[in-house]
Amino acid sequence: MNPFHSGFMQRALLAGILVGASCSILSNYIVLKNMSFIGHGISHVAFGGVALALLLGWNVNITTLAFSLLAALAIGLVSQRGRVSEDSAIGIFLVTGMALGVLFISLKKTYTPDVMGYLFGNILAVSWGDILMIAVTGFVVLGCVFLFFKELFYFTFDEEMARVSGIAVTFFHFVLLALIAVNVVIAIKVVGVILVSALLIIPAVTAHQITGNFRWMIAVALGVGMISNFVGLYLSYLLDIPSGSTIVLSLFCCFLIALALRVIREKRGGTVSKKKG
Amino acid sequence: MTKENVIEIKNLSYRVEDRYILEDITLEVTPGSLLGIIGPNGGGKTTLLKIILGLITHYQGEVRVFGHRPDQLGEDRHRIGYVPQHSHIEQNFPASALDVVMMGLYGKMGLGRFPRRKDYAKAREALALVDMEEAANKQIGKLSGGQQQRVFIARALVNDPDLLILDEPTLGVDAKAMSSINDTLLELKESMGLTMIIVSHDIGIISISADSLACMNRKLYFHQRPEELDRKTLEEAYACEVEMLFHGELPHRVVERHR
Repeated sequence: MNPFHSGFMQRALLAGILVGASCSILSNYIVLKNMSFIGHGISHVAFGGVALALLLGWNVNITTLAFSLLAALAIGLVSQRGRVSEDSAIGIFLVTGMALGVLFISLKKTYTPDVMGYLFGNILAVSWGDILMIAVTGFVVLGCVFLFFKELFYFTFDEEMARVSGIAVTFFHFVLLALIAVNVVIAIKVVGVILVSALLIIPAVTAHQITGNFRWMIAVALGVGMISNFVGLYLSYLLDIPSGSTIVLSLFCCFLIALALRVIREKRGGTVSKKKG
Repeated sequence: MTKENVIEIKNLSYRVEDRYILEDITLEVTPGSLLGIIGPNGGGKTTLLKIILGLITHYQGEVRVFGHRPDQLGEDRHRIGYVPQHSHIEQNFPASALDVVMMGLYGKMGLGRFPRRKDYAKAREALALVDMEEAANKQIGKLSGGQQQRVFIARALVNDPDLLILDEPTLGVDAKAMSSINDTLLELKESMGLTMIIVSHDIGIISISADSLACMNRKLYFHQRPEELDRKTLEEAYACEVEMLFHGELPHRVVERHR
């Protein structure tokens, strides 16, 4: 049985792999810079954008993107000013975004069948227009990481020292936030608002269990993200389960395998060093 | 202000809301000299360094580094090497010692430029200066505290700076590593003709080698030759009883006993 003969599955596969690749590359910076909660917050604010677009009949992609970018900017500004701690600010935006979403959906008097798709992902409804947007986003992420590799690496490792050596730290902070916002929008297609942060966290955490080299970490995370999206989609088709769930569970399995490999390696290493000692 | 001094600070004050962190500091650092800064925790030592580095800009008074305001140093920024207190780095971060030293070159390289073979060679040379070339490919977090500190010193040296600023370079390292790092720093100062500022809780290196010494607790209490350092000055600055143990003719260690 080959599920990828049909057009919608081909689009789903392409979208899944591209989103997996884009989010996985970005996840390395998110995880190492301890920004995991930001992705979670932005995705929930994005739901407000989705609901507003559904209510007013606007373009969902553009409205959600605007909401996500505004959320990223607001979180960035609040954390720079330092009056409210960053996680508190994210917490506030997160619940406000969801509350707005619920409000807008309630205001819409007619039935809104799409809502579940946006909450939990509906990759089978991906259009060629969506794929174009996903591909452009992936290209922008790849381009930024390639062009600003050394600046982002230093910024992620030690923000203060990066500033001392003349790197525009504030600019790169906002670049990362903007990239997270854009990736949230494309990832909502695949796994939905609730599960988006999985794509922005698990690939890098998995890769970090396996390697202590940053370049390898990016490569492993990329592999994990793409393979999990492929396997998750296949299982979704086979078992008739929403793709968001199967993709996230595939990612989680990869994480468990990586964790197990690390524990085994450390135990072996421990035995060797004990023998040496 | 004269052009010859590497750093000139005149009537510098810095406050956060109504509280003075630094008050009326005046000091200068001549080329090739070593300025030691000691003082109690929270006495403003690191704040002073951050002002010199251009990380804090809303101060009162006049600060000149290589003749410029610290936030307008331009390319002269790369003439400063800085070794921060290292405790805040993520120990699991996937960067090798060589990666960390390479970072020292990134700001100077500029946007969109990629490191070349000669840059890697330069980073390896910097590691060799602090006897860490063998650890080039080891993950930074897997090195001991003293070894990590050497790597951070190499990062500060990789641009061939004229001024090296070190914030507690031997904090958290064992006595053997401390003495070895101090020796390396003094050798480097001589061989590279560096001007150096060391903030330290360890009076040893400062009392033996510093050309001038600042004892800071919000104000500057002392800024002359270290031989003239006496218990009264230290006690005034620390606001606590100071027991000085003498080793030879020079104060070797200070033991604080707070009142």
